[in-house]
Amino acid sequence: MNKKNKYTISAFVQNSAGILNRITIVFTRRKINIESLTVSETERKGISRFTVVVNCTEQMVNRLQQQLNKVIEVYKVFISEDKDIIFNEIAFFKMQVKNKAANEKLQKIADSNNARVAHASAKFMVIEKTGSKEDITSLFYILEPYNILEFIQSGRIAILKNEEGMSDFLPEGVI
Amino acid sequence: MGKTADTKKATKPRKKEMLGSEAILEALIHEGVDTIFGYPGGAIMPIYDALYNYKDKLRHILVRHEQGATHAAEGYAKMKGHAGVCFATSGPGATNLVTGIADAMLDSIPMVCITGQVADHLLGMDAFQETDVIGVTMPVTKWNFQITNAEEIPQVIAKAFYIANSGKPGPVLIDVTKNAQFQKFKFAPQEYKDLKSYNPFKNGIGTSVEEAAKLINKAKSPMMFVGNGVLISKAEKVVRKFAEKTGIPVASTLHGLSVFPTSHPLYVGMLGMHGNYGPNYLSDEADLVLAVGMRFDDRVTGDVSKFLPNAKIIHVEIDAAEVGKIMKPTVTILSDAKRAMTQLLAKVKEKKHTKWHQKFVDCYDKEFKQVISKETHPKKGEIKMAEVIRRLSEQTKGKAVIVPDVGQHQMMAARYYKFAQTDSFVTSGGLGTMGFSLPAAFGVKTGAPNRTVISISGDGGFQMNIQELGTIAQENADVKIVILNNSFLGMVRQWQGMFFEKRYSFVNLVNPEFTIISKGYGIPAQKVTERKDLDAAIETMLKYKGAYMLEIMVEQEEDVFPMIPTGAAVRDIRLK
Ligand SMILES: Cc1ncc(C[n+]2csc(CCOP(=O)(O)OP(=O)(O)O)c2C)c(N)n1
Repeated sequence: MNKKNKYTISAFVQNSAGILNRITIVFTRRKINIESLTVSETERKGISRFTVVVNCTEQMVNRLQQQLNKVIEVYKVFISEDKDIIFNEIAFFKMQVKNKAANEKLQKIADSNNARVAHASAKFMVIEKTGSKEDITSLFYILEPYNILEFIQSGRIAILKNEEGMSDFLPEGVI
Repeated sequence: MGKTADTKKATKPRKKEMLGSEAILEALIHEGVDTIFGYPGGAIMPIYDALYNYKDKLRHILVRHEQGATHAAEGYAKMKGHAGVCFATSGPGATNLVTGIADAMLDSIPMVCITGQVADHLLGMDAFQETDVIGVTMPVTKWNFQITNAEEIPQVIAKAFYIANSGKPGPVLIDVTKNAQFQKFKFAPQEYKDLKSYNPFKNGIGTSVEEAAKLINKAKSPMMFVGNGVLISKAEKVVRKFAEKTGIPVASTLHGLSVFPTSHPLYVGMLGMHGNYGPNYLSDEADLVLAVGMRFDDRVTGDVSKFLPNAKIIHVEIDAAEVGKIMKPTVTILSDAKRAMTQLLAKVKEKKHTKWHQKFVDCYDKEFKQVISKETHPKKGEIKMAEVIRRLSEQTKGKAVIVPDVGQHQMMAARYYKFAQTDSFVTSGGLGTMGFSLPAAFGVKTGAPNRTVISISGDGGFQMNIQELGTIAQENADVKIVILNNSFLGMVRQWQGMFFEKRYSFVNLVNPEFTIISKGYGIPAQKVTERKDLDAAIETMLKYKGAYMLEIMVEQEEDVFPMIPTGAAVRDIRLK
């Protein structure tokens, strides 16, 4: 009952001023730390999708779902465990490039780790990696000895592993 | 233009050019508003200027503090069953509303607050009296919105009232920038029918009523808990019929008081920390609890893990977020209480639970002997709070609206007033806001002018909104004001006595002469120190046409019992 788990909350909301605040206070009030947060517009204009990753008990995540549903601007909230979703994150590694050898070495590492070089110049290179948090972390450790100038990682995006689409749970003409 | 186009045009309200400030008032009138509690200031001056021309359509009541406006609006809303309205200026005016808004939020009271705001080009500039009111009130409102363009007014005001009044009611705040108030535009009122992301009427009854009826029909020791939701949905009559048909003993939450007449044979008393012995103690033996429009507040459940160990629960609740929040129901009827109970009534069998009911009677007798008789009918010693309530109850025949403040006297009023009529107890239950009583009682009187309204405060809480004596005097409101003066912050003192080794830390008060203050406002007053004068003083107060204050000196160190100490199981309720 008190076991904590990783949950991905997908909330479909009306995109309006202050909505980010309205959503996050549901978490802060219960002292739930948000592990990652991604907000983007959906295929339907005016509706945004919040993807929030939290680590908490099942009871708490159900409560969060109920409370999010109470926010006037919220249309629909899904709670998923990792097995129910396709999810990924994206990361950029800005690497120092001292010489040609280093350049080749980094290029090789990128290739063997399913990453790509997004930008390369004489002094630095940006490696882009899409994958799970674990994939990104393991690449981080591989790259660490080569002098990471800067590293950034996005929040999770997730999509449900079922054949439903937005028109099933939010029929057209909703707004 | 063809004929059809013409008729279409006729059904649509014609747009009229006006200022944003006037449009706000027009929109309020369209929502059926006729009374506003407010206080002016710089950022809301255009609206107040417009109000000058609307004196015949809108009654504006000038309070003495914005917090007073909110509690008055709450009391008013409780009587009217729809949103009370407050006006305040930006900055300090708006922040003064916050306590009352939070109070309305926790007690599900519909309220619409309109605040002025600095002009939009000054937003975020730390301008004079600029506060981020939307940010401040977001966690304590059901919804809030900032209008920066007058064109938004018709839709936003309609939406504000729709949200405040529907589903589980609550407070809404609309912040209107000064430029929008000054803006000229073409106005026509709007209706709000549908909000796709918010659908309080789409509740899920489904097969739950059948399942609930089955459980009810075979229960051996069932109880019914009635709460605020019964009053909000006006389900008192059907709930009473239901109880009479099924013979189920009925217990009430603090907010459910007066749903049932106290004297009703099936009514077994109040739940919770200072509730009655029987319903608390015997809830342990219940095999079924039908919880109607109540939310298992921690002051009701005590230690949740030990609450209702033998009962299945049927939860009738309009707010899906309350379902399973504290107690896991066997059956949930997601609906307003009236609709659910009407359907349920048709499906339950007639029954009597005579033996089960007798247990409650026995418990009451025990409580009466050990607590109630001594409290309500003392022979000697100082005046007790409970006996004041008992005498008030007798003299008003249980028909007054009781508006207590927060503390010991509140629990005494809840315990000892014998309600004969519904909608007769207006209290700050969720937030427990000291200072609630005086302004709320004024709001109650404004909303229900034909009823006797009695504000009951402690000497502590009375001084938290004492300034509203000015509003009551100016409006000639017939509010009866009772102060039960024990020269202590009594409830805190009681806890220090019971749980902190009687270390009375900062709880004694050196008070002013309340009667002189009252008279200073032009409100007649009388101070009572002896039991023999009590009945006559109450009679004088009740007979007087207009506001009247009674300050009653009561026993200093009286404790409220029974009591379930915080964190204890309800079965461990103490009689002393
Ligand atoms: C605004 C506010 N501040 C503090 C409290 C905490 N509190 C609850 S009851 C109480 C004592 C109330 O004393 P009084 O008004 O004299 O009433 P009594 O308990 O003596 O009847 C206090 C301080 C509160 N409920 N509200």
